[in-house]
Amino acid sequence: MSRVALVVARSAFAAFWLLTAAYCVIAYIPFTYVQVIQSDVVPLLGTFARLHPYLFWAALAAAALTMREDVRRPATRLVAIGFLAVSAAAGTALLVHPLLTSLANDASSLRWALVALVPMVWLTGIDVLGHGTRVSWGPASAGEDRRLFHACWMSALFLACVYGAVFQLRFGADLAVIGLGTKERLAALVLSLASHLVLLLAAFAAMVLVRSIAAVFASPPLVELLLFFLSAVLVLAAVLRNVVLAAVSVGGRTAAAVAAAVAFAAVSTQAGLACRIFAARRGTAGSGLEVLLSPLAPPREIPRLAHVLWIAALAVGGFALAVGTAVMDWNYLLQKVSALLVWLLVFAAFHAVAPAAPARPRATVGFLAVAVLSLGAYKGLEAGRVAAWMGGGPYADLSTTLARYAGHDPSFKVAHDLLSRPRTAVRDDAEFYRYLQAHTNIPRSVHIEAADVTFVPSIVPSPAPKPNIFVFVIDSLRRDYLSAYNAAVGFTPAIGEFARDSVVFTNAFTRYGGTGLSEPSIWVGGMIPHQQYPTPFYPMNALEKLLEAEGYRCFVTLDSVLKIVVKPSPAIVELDQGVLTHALKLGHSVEDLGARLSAGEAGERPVFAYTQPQDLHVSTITREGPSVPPGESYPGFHAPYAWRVRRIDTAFGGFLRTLRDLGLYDNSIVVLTSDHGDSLGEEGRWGHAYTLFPEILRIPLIVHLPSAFRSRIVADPAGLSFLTDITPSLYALLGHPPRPRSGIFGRSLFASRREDLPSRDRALGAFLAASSYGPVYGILRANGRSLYIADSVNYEDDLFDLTTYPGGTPPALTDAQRALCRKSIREGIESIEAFYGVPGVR
Amino acid sequence: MLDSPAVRIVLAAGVLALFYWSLFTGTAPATAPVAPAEGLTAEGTRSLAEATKELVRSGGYGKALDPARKLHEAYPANHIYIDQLATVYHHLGRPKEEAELWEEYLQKAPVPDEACPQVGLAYRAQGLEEKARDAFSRCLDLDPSNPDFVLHLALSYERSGRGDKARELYERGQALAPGYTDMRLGLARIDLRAGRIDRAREAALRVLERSPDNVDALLVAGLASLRSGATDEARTHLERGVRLAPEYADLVLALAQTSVRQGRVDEALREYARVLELRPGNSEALEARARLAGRAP
Repeated sequence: MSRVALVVARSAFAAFWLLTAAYCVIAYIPFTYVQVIQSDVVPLLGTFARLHPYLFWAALAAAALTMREDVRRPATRLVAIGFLAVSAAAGTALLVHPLLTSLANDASSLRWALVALVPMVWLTGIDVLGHGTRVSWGPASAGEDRRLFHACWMSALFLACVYGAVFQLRFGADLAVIGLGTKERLAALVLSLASHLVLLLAAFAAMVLVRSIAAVFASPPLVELLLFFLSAVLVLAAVLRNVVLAAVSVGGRTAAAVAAAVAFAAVSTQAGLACRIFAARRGTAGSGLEVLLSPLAPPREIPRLAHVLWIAALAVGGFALAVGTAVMDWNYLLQKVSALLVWLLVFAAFHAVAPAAPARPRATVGFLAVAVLSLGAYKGLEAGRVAAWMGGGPYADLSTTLARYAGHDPSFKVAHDLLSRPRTAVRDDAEFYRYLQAHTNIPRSVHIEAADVTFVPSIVPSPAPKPNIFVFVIDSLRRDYLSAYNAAVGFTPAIGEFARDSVVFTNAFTRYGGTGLSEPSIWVGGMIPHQQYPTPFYPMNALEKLLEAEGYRCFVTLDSVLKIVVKPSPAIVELDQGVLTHALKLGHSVEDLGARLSAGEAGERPVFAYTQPQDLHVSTITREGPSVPPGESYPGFHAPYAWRVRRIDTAFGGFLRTLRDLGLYDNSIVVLTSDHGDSLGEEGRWGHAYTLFPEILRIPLIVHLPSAFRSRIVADPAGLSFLTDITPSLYALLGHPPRPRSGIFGRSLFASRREDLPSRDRALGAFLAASSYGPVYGILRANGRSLYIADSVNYEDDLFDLTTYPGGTPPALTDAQRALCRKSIREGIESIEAFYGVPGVR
Repeated sequence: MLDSPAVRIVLAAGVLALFYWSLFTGTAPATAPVAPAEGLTAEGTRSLAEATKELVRSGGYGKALDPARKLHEAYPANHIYIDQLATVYHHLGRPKEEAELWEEYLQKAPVPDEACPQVGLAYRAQGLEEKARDAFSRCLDLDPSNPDFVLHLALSYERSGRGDKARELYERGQALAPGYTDMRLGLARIDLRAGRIDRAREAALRVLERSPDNVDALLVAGLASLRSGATDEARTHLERGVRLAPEYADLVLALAQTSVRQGRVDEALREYARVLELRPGNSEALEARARLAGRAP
C-alpha cells in the first residue's frame, strides 16, 4: 500500500473515532447537550450521529485495507484478527442499537468517549508489534540539531508572513473597520515575527534537550522517539485541557483525564503510522523526531519541487482555515486549534527539507546562542513598547493595537496569548478563577430544587379587560442594526415606525450571554442558578404562572430550551410545529401565529404569544452562506446579517399589519427584544460563544403599550433596564405590582409614579452578568456605562468604557477596581445560590 | 567537551530555563501606572475598603469619613475612593469638599462623566450657580448625547433667568430623548414665563395625559390655568399636585395664589403658612400673609 493511501486511510479511521469521542463529550456537557445536540445547531453533527453506524463500517474498511500484512504475519495475526472480529461485532451492535443518537446527558457519555479511543490504541498496538520492531535504528544523526534549528526559524518566518498576508488580503481594503493604520500593522507584524521566532526557538532548545538526554542511552534515536512521543502527548493534552475543554466549561480531573486519553490515542496513532512508514524504508533511522513526524510531511527523498508545492499547499490551507474558521467560531477556539495544526504541519514540512549536513558540536552552541539573542530581541521590543506606552509616546495604544491585530491573525493570537499570559499573577487570581469555574455549569448530578418564584403573594385575576401580549425575542439581534437605535440604519422601516409608537429603552442589557440561560431568565424574570436546567423548571417560571392565572391563550414556539422551561398545558398552542430550533424563522412564526389569530383560535381569551427565531444566529448565517441577494448592499454593516435584519423587519411589519387588521394592535403589549447581541467582527470576534463583550450584553428593548395604558403609567427609557424586567413589567401592566424577593430579580419598567421606577436606584448600582456557557462573568456599573469582565476560560479580565466602545482606548483597570468588581461578582453569585438553595461549592 | 551529552543537557536546559524565566515569570508589563499605597498593605487596603463600603451602604457616613479619607490619601489616583469620599461628604452636608472631590474625579476617572451631575449639584448646594452651570457644561462636553446632562444645564440656565439658552437646550434634549417629559415641561415653564400661556398649558396637559401624577406638569398646568383666569381648573390641578407631593413648596405657593384669586382667604392663609414651614423666610409668602392678615374675618 502506498504511503499516501496508508496515511489517508488511517487518518480517516482516526478522524472517525476522534469525532465519535468528541460527540460523546458534547453529550456529556449539559449546555452543549441542549444547545448543540438537542437544538441541532450544527446539522453536520446531527448527520454524523445518524450515519454513525454506517460510517463505522467505512472507517473499519479503511483500517482493514491497511491491515492485510498484519493478518498474514504471525506476530500480529491474532491481535489483528481479534481487532477485526471485535470491530465487526461492535459494528453490528451499532446497527441494531445506534450509540450517538441515544446518548444521555450524564457520565455514561463520558465513558463512551473513552471507549471510542480504544480502537485507535488497539491499532497502534498492532503497528508497534508488527512494524516497530522492524525499524532499523542507527546512530544519532549528526546533522539533526542544524536541521531542527533551520526548521524552527523557517517555520516562524513562514507562519508570520503567511498569516500576515492572510490579514492583508482579508482586510487590506477595509482597514478603517479594523482600526489599524499602516504604522500599527507594521508594528504588529514585527511583533508577530518576533513572537513566532521566540516560541519556535524555545521549542528548538527543548528539542535539543530531549535529544541530549536520549544521547545518554545505547540507542539514542529510539529513546528520542519515546521522549518525543511523551512530550507530544503532554503538549497535546495541555492544549486540549486549557484551550478546548476549558472553552466548553470542562475542568478539573475530568478535563485532565479526557485530555490525556485523547492526546495519548491521537499521538499513538501517529506513532504507529510512523513505525509502519519507517519499517518500509531502507536504511536506518537516525532521528526519533524524524520518525514521529514522518506521517505529517512528504518524505525527504522526493524532488524539491514537490516539497515546495506541499509548503505552498500549506500556505493556501492556512489561508482557508483562517478565513473559514473565523466565520463561525467559539471565541477563537477553532481558529486557534487550526492555527496550531498548521504550525505542526509547517514545522514537519520544513523539517523534511531543512539542511541536515553533519554539524560540529560547536554549531549547536551557536544555534542556542541565536535562540537566546532572539529572546533578547523580543524582550527589547517588549520593553521598548512598554516604555513608549508608559511615556504616552506614539505607541500609546500599542497594547490595544496588538490585541486588535491578534483578533484577525489566529497564528499571532496563539503566540500572543501564550506570551502575554499573566506572569506574577495577583495572589487571588487563581482562587477567584477557580471559584467562578466551580459555580458555573453546575452538573446535573447536583440536585437543585427549583425554587418557587413569584412576584406577588397570590395572583387574583383582575376583572379588567386584559391586553394581548406578543413577545418577539430575536436571537442575536443587535440594537445597532435597528433604526430606533442607530440613525445610520435604513433597512428597518417597519421596526422604526413601531418604535415611534412605543417606548424604546436605550440602555438595555441582558444578564446572560448566550441563549442557554438568557431565554429562561426572561420567563423567570430574574437570574437563575448556573445549571442547565433544574427540573421540573415550572416553579421558577413566573411568567407562565401569571398567564395561567389570568387565563391567557398562549401561542409559543417551543424551542429546545422552552421545551424544558415551559410546562405543557392545554392552554398552550405550539407555534412552528415540526420546525427544528435552528431552523426557526420569524417569517414562518408570524405567518403561523397570524393564521391562528385570524382563524379565531384564541376564542374570547386574551392572547399571549412568544417566539425566538434564529434568523440571525451565527450558525444560521454560516449554514445559509454569507451572500446577500443581488442588488442588496449595506455599506457600513455586516451585509449577511443586515440583510436578514431587513427580512425580519418585513416579517415583523407584516405581523403588525395583521394585528391592526384584526383590530388587536391598540389593545396589545408588543415587546421586541433579543436574548443577547452578537460579535460581528469586533477585534476579529464572531458570534457569541461564552463571551460577554459589550456587543453581546447590549440588547434592543422596545415595548408598545395599549393606548389605554399610556395615560396612567410612566417609564424611563434612558434608565438602566434588563431583559429580566420583562416579566415583572407584565405583572405590573396586568395590575399586579411586583414585589421581587431578591435583587437577583427584575423590576417593572413601568409604574404609575416616577419614583417607583427602577432607574434611579440602578444608576449607582453594580449588576451581575454571566455567560450561559462558560465561567465568564461581568459587572455593569455606572448606569450601564462601565463593564468589567472576568474570563476564567482564558484567565484574563478587562474593563470597558461603554460610552466609547468600540474604538476607544480601554480604560485602565486598577487593582482596587478589580477587587471591588470581583467582590460584586461573588456577591451576585452568592445571592443567586442562596435564593435557590444551591448545594455547597464543588 | 561540547560533544558530551551532559554538557549539551546543561546548555539546553539553561537556555530553556532562561526562556521560561524571562517569558513566564517576573513582573508582567504594567498596564497602568499604579499609585503608591502609602502606609497601607494590600490586605489592609482590602479590609478598609470593604469596611468603608459597608458603612456607606448602611448609612454610617460619619463613621465612614475617616477610612474613606485614608483610602483616598493612600490611593489619590483611584477614582473609586474619590467617588466614595465624595459620597460621604455629600451625605454629611459638606458640599465644598464634595465639589472638590468630584473635580478630582473628572480629572482621574476612566469614565469621568460618572461625576455628573453630582459635581454641579455640589456647587449648587453651596449657592454657586455660576460654577454649577460651568460644571454642567463640562459634563455635557464629556457626553453630548446624554439627555440628563442637557437637562441639568438647561435647568441651571432657567434658574438664572437665561430662558433663551434654556429653551435651546430643552429643545436639544427633546430631540435626543423625545419621551423625556422633563424637557417638555422645561419648555412649558419658559413659555409660561414668556407669557405664552396657552402653549405652556397645552404642553403640560399633554404630559398629564400620559402621566397624570406628574407633579411638575400639574404645577405648570395649574399656573397656566391661573394666569388665564381658569381658577377652578387651576385649583383642580394644584390640589391634586399637593395631594401627591405635600412637601412641594412651589405647588403649595401656587395653590395659595389661586385661593387668593378665588377669595378663599382662610385657605390662602393656611397655605402660605405651610409654604413658610417648607421654605422658611420665603418673602412672597411672608408678604402675602401680612397683606391677607388684615382681610381675614
